[in-house]
Amino acid sequence: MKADPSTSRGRTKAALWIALAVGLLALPLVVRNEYFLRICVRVGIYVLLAVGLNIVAGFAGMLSAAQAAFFGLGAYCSALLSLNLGLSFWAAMPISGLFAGIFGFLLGLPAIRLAHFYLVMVTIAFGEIVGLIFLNWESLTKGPFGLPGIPPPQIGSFVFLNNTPYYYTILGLAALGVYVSWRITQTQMGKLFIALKDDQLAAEASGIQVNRYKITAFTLSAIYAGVAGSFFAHYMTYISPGTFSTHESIMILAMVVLGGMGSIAGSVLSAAVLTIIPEAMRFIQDYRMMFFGGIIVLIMLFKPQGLLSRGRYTLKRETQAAER
Amino acid sequence: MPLLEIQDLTMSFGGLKALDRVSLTVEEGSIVSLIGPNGAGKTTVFNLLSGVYNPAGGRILFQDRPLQGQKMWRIARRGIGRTFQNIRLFQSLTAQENVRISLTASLRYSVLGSIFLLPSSRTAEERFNDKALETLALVGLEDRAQSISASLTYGQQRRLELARALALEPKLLLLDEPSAGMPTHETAELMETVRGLRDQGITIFLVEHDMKMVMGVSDKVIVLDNGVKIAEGQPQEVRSNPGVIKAYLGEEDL
Repeated sequence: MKADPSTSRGRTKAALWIALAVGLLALPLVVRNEYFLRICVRVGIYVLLAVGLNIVAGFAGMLSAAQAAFFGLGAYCSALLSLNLGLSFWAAMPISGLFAGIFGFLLGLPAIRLAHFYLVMVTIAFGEIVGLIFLNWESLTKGPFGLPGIPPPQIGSFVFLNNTPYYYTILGLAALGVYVSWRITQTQMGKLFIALKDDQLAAEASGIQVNRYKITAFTLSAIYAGVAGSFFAHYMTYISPGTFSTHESIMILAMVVLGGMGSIAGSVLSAAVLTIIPEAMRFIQDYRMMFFGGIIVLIMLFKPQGLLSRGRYTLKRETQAAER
Repeated sequence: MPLLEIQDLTMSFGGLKALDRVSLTVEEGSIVSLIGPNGAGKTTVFNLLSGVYNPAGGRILFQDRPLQGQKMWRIARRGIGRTFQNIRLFQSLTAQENVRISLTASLRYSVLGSIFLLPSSRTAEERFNDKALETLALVGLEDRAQSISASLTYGQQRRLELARALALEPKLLLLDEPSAGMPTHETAELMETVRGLRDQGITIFLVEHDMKMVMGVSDKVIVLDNGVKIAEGQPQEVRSNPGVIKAYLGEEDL
């Protein structure tokens, strides 16, 4: 059985991918439990958020704690387009992605001058400002009351009522998100992201417009969150400012860190793990968030590089602050 | 007409004057060495030339056009490549990918096209890989193309850094102590490489400690001491200049 290891490994890999795809597609047909599917849809939303954040934080090495703000911008944009202009989910979703992307671009402009903790501080401040706008621009957002009655998506005369169509929609979006992110790693742009994470000075000396690629990473990351937000708004049919807090941003950042910075599979896995664990531990009621925190501490103690950190996109060590 | 002309270049860090009104020229097609004791300001000159710092005073003319105040990447694209004293590679990228980074400016490609696998993008990626391999072959690293750069030996890493700078197709190449940490036979090889590059029309500006190399390859030697230029001339002249012997070489015999 030593005939061509590369092909046989390739075949095993392909078989695994097909099995995964069939499993995910067949899930709602096998499991007809609305609560379970609801958790799966939530996992899908967080996969989109985490895989998106992984582009800026994992690939390009810029820690951002503003992903929930872009999530919220996408959600509010989509909700308002539907409620005020009567746009369908399918039309509002790409617009919301771009809308969040524009804000990602704008946050990128000051963010390129900062690194490490200072960057985290600025992104937190950005998130807080966005949250305050949701809360206080009452004529538009209805402030703390939130926006109810967001119409669910519709295909022809088929209206999304139970979790199954939502499940397939978010599965498709998350799959597209993962695919695009993986393609980025295969292209020149993906290599540029790693280069500027590895050694920014050397990248600039190699003729790279470092700032342009940093801003691109921020924009892409925000587009993911904007699309996730649009889906979220039409899934919940109600949104309010509290959902898009800095706490939520830190949760998404935790997913990326816990999965292994830069690892797409890691982001997907830990988005699933961190969404499912709190649900699975409902039986211990009040103590569950305590256990949840404990599990995160344990993972970080025993896998400080994250769950899946073998890929070369993951942050192996601090780039040396070498002598200039 | 010199390729590079520096006029009254001045730089200070805090209260320390690193460079004090240094003027020099680098003629097209020549190999010029910059020498001097530790802390003389040699690397500072390179950092000013490549745009890491902005000079406090003075002018830098490259092909008769000013260089100072421009961004690093623009200077690189104008045709100035450099290597670093302590090697700075993209450690998690392969040798080939390290070189590809420098090709970004010369090989245009579409980001969306490559994400969605449009046919044009395949050829772009191929062009990147082919060009990178060609450049690696110039320094004899083509068989290590797929190795992660951090796993290369010290000498290979130095050569890879050179290949990355060459991929910019520079007119002027700044080499910051290229022979540092090299065994003697590799230094001899390096001298051959440097001469070869000059013969291909690349002007070389070199900071170097190894006197055998400096005296062996240079068309001109410039001596800095405490941020001031104390001598400039052919290797023979500089070698016998009493000021240089006193300030830099001490009792050591050349």
